[in-house]
Amino acid sequence: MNPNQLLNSILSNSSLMQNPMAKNTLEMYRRGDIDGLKRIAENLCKERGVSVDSVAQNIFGKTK
Amino acid sequence: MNYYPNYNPYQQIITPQYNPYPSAQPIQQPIQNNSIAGRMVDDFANIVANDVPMDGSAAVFVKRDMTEIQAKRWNPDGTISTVRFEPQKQAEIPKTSILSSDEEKSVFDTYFARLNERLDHLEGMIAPQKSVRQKKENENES
Repeated sequence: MNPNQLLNSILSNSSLMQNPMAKNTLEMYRRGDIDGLKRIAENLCKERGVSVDSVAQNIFGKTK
Repeated sequence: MNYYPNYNPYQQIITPQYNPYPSAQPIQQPIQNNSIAGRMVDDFANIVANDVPMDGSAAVFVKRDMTEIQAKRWNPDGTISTVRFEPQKQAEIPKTSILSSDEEKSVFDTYFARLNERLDHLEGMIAPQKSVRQKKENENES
């Protein structure tokens, strides 16, 4: 699944689109607001008590 | 004999009939989730991010000793906002006593003093008559 397919599947998911955070994230992605996306990721990590680096390592470590 | 050119005795008269079982059309109603997310907590520090639903709805956390309630929800920017609710303490009911103040006491003192005066006056009115009656009774007895 390429990023566009992923985006389309997310957009077609009505329940997910009712989520204000997901909606905001997608809008930022469409606008190309990288700083905004980064800020959301940082806030999410902070609220969950994890570091951005550890999450990134976890994601990219598995995809490698 | 009258002739009705349009009259057909075999014509079926179609009347709208009442159908008690109309064809059921499935009406899809949106599923409403009326339940509120949340739980009782000993300490609000025990609340984790996973306790707050990510669909934008708020979760309500009640402290077990009922001293505070917190509502938490995810914001679009990825932070969690918290609204604190504190129970309103019931106002203390003032002690109502009829002798709470000196003023009230003096009013009652005056009232009872006047009442005593009137009783004395009534006793004074009754006592002479009584004594006369007693005298008469004593005379009759003797």
